[in-house]
Amino acid sequence: MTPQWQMPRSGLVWLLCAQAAIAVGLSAALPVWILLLLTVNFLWRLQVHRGLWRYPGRWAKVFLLLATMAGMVVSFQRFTGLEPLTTLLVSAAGFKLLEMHHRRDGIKLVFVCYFTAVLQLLYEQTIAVAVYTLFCVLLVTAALTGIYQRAEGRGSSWSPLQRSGAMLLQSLPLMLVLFLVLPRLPAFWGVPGQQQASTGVSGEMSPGDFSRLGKNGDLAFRVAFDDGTPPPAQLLYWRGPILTHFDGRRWSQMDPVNFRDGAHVIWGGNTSTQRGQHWQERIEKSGQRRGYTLIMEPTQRPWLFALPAPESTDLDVGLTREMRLVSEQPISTKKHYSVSWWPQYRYFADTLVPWQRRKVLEIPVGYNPKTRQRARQWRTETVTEEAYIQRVLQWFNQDFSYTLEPPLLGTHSVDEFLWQSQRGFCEHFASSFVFLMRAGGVPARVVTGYQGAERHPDGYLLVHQYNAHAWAEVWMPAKGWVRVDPTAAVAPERIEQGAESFFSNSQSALTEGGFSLSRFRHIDLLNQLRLQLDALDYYWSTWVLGYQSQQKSLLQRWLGEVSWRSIGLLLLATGALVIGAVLLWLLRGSLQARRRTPLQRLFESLCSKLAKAGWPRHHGEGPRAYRQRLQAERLTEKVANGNNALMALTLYEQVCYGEQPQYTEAFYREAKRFR
Amino acid sequence: MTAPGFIRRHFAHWLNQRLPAARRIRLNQQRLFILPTKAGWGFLGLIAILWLLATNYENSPIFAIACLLSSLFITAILHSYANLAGLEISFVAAEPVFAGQRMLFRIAACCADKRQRQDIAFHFGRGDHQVLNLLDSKRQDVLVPLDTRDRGWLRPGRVTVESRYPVGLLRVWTYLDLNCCGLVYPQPLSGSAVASAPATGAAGQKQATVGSDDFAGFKKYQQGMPLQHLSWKHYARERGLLGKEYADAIDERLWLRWQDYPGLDREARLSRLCARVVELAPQQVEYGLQLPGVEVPLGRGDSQRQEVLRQLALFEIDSHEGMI
Repeated sequence: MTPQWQMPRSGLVWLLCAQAAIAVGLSAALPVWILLLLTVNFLWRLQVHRGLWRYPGRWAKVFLLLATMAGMVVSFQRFTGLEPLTTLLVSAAGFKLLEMHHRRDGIKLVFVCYFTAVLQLLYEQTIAVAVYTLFCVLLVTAALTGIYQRAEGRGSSWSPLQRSGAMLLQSLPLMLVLFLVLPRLPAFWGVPGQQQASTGVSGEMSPGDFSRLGKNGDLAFRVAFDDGTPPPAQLLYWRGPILTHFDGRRWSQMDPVNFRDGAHVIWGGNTSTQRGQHWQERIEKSGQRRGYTLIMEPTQRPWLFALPAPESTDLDVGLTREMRLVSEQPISTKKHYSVSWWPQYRYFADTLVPWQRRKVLEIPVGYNPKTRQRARQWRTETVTEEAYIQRVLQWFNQDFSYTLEPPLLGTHSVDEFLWQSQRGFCEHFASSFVFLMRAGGVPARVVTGYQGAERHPDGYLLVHQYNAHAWAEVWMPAKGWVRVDPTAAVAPERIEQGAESFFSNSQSALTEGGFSLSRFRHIDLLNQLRLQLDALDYYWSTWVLGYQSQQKSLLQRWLGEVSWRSIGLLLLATGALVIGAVLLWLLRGSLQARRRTPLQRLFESLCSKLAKAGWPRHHGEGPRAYRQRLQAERLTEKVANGNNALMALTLYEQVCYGEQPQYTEAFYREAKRFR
Repeated sequence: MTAPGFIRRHFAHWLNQRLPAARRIRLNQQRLFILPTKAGWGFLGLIAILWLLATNYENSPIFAIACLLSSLFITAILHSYANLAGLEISFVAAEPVFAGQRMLFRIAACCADKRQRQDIAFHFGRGDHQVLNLLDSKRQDVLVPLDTRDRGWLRPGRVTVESRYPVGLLRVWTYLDLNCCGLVYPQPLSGSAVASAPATGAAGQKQATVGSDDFAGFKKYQQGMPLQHLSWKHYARERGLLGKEYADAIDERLWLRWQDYPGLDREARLSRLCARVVELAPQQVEYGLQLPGVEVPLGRGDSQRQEVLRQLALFEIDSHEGMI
């Protein structure tokens, strides 16, 4: 290897293209100065290639390195995590451009480029990003081929791209097989995620939270029911965080409690075998069990959403004492989980544990005096809890109105809402209803989550952020926890028709969240487009992003039983098929060239007949030498028809090497006569 | 670095079984070996890292890219194989050289099909690489160099044919025994020559005027006249082909004899003799060679030079093994 190895031009061009494409793809995650630094590196490298500049000296390199480190400290204040790692790799790749003295330096750079190209997919997994990453991989592969290209000929700049494109195309079938068949393992260790703002239902409820969500058209999750028929809209209460604690203004979740009837969370649908009665056994479900799969958009929060009385066998999904699902890790990428549900359920109907009863009756002292007093009065006037609840709901129905732009409330927020403004959003109703219940001695809590869904023509449900909802649950003896939705009492059409039609009638538009076609749902064509795009994204989510959950059933359908052996056999069979096809295509010329003419075939059969008779042709022995040897060894005396064979060999020599094709017929005759 | 002797012997035996010697060998799956290069192992490591990344982040698209790169690696195996498969490699010839010079073995690569082949390197053992591309032609020759040391037949053994095309992740190679051989003349060493005996007994002998090249006149062209003595001026003026006669260019006859170099060992004598041949060959001198048991009769011209040098090269070497 020469000391100053010069990278082939085509290799360098594609390497620079690949790096530029990757930097553009990652630009959202990179600080701006990195792009500047990369540009400097690129220009410097180009000048080196043109022979105008030299590679930077040691001090220049040290300076650039220190500058990068300083930049990273300023930008991130840390060196761990996904963004600093990305920055480090991209800048390292940029520096490597200025340090290419051997071919192996080029190869290392190509590998780093492959890795950084793939990093794009850690940030986002949309179809667009996947396609772009594939494009980057194509460019990097072109660079790899370019580095090894020595025969500089016409069109040599483009040929690496063509060749790598052809190779990648030929690789696609096998890739598909590998992707479909190779088993996926669970994560080995926890990994740092990216730092992103969390979205969706927040796990707390302060005034104004839900009205903000109500204007957001982003997708929260999609649901596909196994039998394809979702339950009616008024049953679609997707339960999320349960808010038990109230400080007068803000509702928040209870701290997890491990009590003697079991831990707060049970993971992976484990039925515990602890002594005593486990809380899980106090959940009664009846009716037909049905299943659905939920694909949640990233929220950066650990809670999951599900219909009441859920059960999930996914290992990283847990069921809490509050009958809702949580995830082990915050949801940073699209999350698939499958859930079973029952139409009828009852839980904790027998008794409420005293400490729990205390928690769900707690109201802050000194707030909302008027409401507390009125609640006690009404509760004494009514006999049963049901009657009391009915009384309150009736009042809501008569005197209250529903709006997304409620007036601001002061310190005694419940008092002001109930007795003055009387206009509000689901959070106001849920909050004041639970307050009224607790003040009247009825255990109650606020449930947050989503209500309703949009039905996609393809059969699955779309739940958007504007479906965010808050409602109440009250505990009654012999009935357990029962859902009460005060909003339904005020604006029943909000629940029955769904949020989108309700809001589209009202004047408030969807003004928050990213750009979304949801805003134009009243234009039919655009709405069609929106649904088509959503379907594309849904199938992408199901079959690519969430393929792990589909794989088992799919393989079962193909193989019958899923074992290492059957998977191996399937891989082997399809792999051999694909490889064979590619090889046939690659060797197409040779195989044709190897095809024998009839003359050659007859000659070979003559030789094999002679070999059977005990006179094989030696390796590399020409027809003339063969004939002379046979003559010398007196073939004619030892083998019948030996004369014919010798004659045929003579004629063959004449036809092939003496350019006397008129002997062909004679050769055929003699060769066939010998047996 | 070298493997112990018995392993090498076993390997050589196995190679002889698998790849027997032949003058022309067609490359196919039986004769080609494929293994990843360092870069190839690095690529496999990269795939492993991507797979870890995909598994830990439960990231399906990255898993797909890892699958794509694995598949690409397998496609690269096929492409690397296809670059050499179907090629016919044969040894053409090697021009004799003097010991210490670099011998060039002419090796031909032909393909019967129309596929392009690129970046095929040939080398003997630790000799230099020579790269060949078959782009538009069906046959291409390559001169594979090897340094020589001793006189006699040089048999470089197996030639390594290898290619890392198209992505450098894999090395496809084979060791071919093409029965390559070339003749190495002794290294010419001039010095302390005792005067060679003038040949006697031949007719028309003249006193040699050593060092004189006086022009004597023209003479009608006869076959065997050295080309550099032709008068091209006359020929151009269409006066027929005339040869220039030089006074000293008339028959001088010399015998190069073993016994002219007393006190030297065999190789030193051969080297001296060789130097004399090199010196005499361009001159218009008839010379012959006398070695113990070997005699080359008087003669001149290229064929004489070759024959004399050949005898010097093979003196007391079993020349039989050189015949193929």
